[in-house]
Amino acid sequence: MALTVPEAQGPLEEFLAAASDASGAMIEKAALLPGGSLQENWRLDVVFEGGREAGRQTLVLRANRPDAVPAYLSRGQEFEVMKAVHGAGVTIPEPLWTSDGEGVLGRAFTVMRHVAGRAEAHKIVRDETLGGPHDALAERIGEELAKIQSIRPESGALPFLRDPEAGAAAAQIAEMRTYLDGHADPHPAIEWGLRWAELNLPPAVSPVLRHGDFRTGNYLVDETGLTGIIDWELASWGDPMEDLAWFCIKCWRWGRPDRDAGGLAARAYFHRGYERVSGRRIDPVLDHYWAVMANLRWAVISMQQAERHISGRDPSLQLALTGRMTAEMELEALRLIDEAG
Amino acid sequence: MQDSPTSTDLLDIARQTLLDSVLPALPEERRLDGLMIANAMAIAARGIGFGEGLLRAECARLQELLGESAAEEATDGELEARVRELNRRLAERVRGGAYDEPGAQGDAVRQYLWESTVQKLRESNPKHLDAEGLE
Repeated sequence: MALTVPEAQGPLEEFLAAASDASGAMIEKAALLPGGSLQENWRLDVVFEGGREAGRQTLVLRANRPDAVPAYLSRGQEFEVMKAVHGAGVTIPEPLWTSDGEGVLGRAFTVMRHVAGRAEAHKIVRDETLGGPHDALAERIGEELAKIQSIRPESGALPFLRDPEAGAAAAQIAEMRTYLDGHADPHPAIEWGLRWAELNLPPAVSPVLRHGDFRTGNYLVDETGLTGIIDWELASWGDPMEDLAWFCIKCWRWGRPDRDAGGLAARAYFHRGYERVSGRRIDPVLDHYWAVMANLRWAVISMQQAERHISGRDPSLQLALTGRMTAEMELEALRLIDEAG
Repeated sequence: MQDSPTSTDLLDIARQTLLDSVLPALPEERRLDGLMIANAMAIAARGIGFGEGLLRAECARLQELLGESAAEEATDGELEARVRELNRRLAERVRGGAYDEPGAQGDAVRQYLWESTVQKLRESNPKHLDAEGLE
């Protein structure tokens, strides 16, 4: 049976002590952090007696919601991705331990080190005291993305991530069409975009690790700058351009459309950081192609989110309203395609 | 015939009350819920305001694009089903490449897609259209 974090305090303390070779661990405070429709994140203030974490530590426990539909990566797989990314020098909360939850919470969870900072996109784009000067922040995030992409399937890392070919544009187009075919309402504007994407397929490239939702809202900043990139459960192999373009599409600029790098700064800053660390030049034609794809993908995801509400599985006003956002991405995809001539 | 006020009037005043009287009394962590409720009510009120005239116009436009003869005057439920079916046929043609070649047909379809998407946003998010410089 799934327990809440406070209900499972005793078993959790035993787990934390065993995981850190401590003789004991005491959770002084557990507080549910805001956000997360599929997961819940708890801040834990823990005192360890001895072991590798001796003393007072602030941790985050990330667990599936008790009623969550399992999707994408499991907690354990997300943990492996975070370990690989942390090992590659990317700024993320350090992942510490993971558990299938048996005898503890009754559901899988991961424990990571707490990092200070805020992720609220609307606040970050309006307030330069969050994240420091935003030109520099955008450049730094570009550098981080290049480091994420240093992880590649040929090294044998992360073997559970699906087939590297699945991230290619052609495979994504096929997947979106399959989804549309099963949906009650036709979406000819998305079909228009997918047809364009099919006719303009980019050449195949070696896949890299992609975050899968790399955008303002999924990183933490404090007054000094970036403190951690979060939410790794959509990670997969993919085209290097995909996260780059996703970061810049209009819906992730949070009301600052003039600052195309995630509402922070001009895209050039973001690209400069990426190009310097990756050693690769960004082809604007590919950047545009993947911006169209990003809008199509988000349009389809918004339909999927609305469906969770409509089906009655997960009644939610937020999910319901997301269904009315689909047209924003459709319009942007149509506009971008026109731009290409 | 229903008595006044209209459904739209009711939604409007209910929303105004929510924003003016209820929202300021909500704790910070419930504020977003309050704003989302107000947004949903505004969308619903605009939807009622647009009525089914637009759906009829969309139906006529799609029939013309697809070269289909006009259906019998449809009842409400049938009209929606008819527009869905016509959009499905259009979607199939787009996917099949029927409008790949530049030309008047493709331009007309592209124009329809743009206008029907803008129309969805007139109901769902007119502020987004303002930000895009569209009406």
